[in-house]
Amino acid sequence: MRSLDKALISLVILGFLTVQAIAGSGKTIGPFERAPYQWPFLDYPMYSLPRFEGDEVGRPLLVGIEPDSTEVEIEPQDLGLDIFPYIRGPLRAVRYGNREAAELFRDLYEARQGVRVIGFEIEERPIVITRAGYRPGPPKRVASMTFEPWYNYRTNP
Amino acid sequence: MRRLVRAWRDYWFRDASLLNLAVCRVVIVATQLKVLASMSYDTEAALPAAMYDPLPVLHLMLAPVGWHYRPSLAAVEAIHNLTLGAGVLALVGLFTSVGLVVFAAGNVFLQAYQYSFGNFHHPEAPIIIGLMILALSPAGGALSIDDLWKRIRSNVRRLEFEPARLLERTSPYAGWPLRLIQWTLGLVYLSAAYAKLRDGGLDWTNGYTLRYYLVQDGLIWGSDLALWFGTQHFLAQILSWLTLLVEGTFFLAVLFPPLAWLYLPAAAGLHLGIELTLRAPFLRWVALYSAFIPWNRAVRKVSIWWERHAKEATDVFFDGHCALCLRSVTALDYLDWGGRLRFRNLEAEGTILTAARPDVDLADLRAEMHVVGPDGEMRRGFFAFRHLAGRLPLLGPLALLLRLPGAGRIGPRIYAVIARHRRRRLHCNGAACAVHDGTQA
Repeated sequence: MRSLDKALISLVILGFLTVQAIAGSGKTIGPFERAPYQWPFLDYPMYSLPRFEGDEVGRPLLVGIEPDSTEVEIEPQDLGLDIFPYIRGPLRAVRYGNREAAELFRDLYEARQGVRVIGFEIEERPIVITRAGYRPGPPKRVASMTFEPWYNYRTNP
Repeated sequence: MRRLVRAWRDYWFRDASLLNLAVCRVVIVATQLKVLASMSYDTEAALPAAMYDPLPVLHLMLAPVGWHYRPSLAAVEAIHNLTLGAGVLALVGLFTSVGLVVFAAGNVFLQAYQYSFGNFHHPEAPIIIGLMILALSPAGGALSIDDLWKRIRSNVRRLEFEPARLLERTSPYAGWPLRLIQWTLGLVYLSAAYAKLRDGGLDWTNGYTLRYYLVQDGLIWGSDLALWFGTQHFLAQILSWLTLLVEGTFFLAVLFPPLAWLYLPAAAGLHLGIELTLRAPFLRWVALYSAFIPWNRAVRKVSIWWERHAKEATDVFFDGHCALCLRSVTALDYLDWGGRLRFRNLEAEGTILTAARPDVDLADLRAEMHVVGPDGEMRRGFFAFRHLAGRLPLLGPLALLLRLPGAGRIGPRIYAVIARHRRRRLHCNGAACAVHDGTQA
């Protein structure tokens, strides 16, 4: 009985170590297409990309366009979201042109704020890393999406 | 091959302290209970269905009710409360095995649920793996109500007091969970170092990289400290090298345990710095470091120091024929990690006291608890109990309660009631019952 116990526990030990070692190297196991799907066995690549002098720290902000062309800055709390769902939700949807997902966040915003929006834009307000410290970079619009086919946000008043 | 199998068994299944495993259980469960208590699910429940993308582990757990089933907020909150309850049981060691299994499974479910909406983080994973390991281990074999109850039943059944000897108890199954937690941490840190070297090589230590992330997260979380560090180029270079060194070689602390005293403070300092600047809650990993610490040796050293520098032990005179007394001394002994109490069975050693104190006879000793403290003063009944509570650090809160104004008047009355009625509470037999009845005293 004791030998059987030890054999079973040995399998558990080997299983845990193998899965963690494979996941930790950034590889995936079996049908799981990317590392988070093996949770809680993960790799830890946070903050791993190297950065250099002159690199810009992106500060994306969601901007809503109202029917009268007024622009309104939409912060995470305006949608009832924390920062990461905000980045992975509406910002990603607009940036990658996922209209279906973006419309869900438009509806969410309209329901929470009682304001109609006919389009979204993403504005980057970067910070540039320098040897001596950092400085603000020029803001730029990096993506846009309109929900009204007739509306052109660049030409409409 | 045979040699390999023997080496494997020697490494994973050599006798190890049950106390070390139990302390690890208490630390990890308490840490995760704190995390769990702060979790809420309103945000996830309000998110649109299109964002619900369950992790495979959640799919598996929900499979009986439907592969794509999305649990309601009420269901998730019910599981949250069940998990909290199981965690409390696992913490105090009542139905420990069941409590740990439910607590581990509940945490996997709840965290996987939160991570099934595109929101994904790393700090919880190693602790949840640690909980899964503990759930398969004899972590309730010491420092648990289960174990205390087992000892009480054994002592009462045999009508013989046998000390728990918590510091000396070992099991071949107590070491593997601790070593597996250690290796899991070693692999996790190695993964972090590997990712940095894979993605950036030594450029990761150029100072700009760390400063970039400090500024990035400093802006997100509003951390002035991170923004200040983001301007310190030379300091960022040094910290980058240290981070890479600690993460990349942490596994040496697993291979060579004395190095743990170097690596654990270094890694804890790293997490503290990350928590203060980047606001990433990795400091909770320190709970897993409890798997590295030889708690039994630490407690023994403190006991030796106590014996050398502090006071002598308190003599506790108990009636070895009394089930209630045996229960009490078994419980007191269980809490006496420092060897501050010396238990003396009246039948064998009662004359030590009666010879020294002519005003005390065996009937007095049987009627209520007597202790003789290091100061030579003899205390009885409630005052004896209060003295004992004061001597055991684990009973510190109770000792304070017993010192409240009025406790010295009410306490003896309550004690007298219990002492008077203990005959009915006994599971004693034959002569032992008669002794407590007072008829043969």
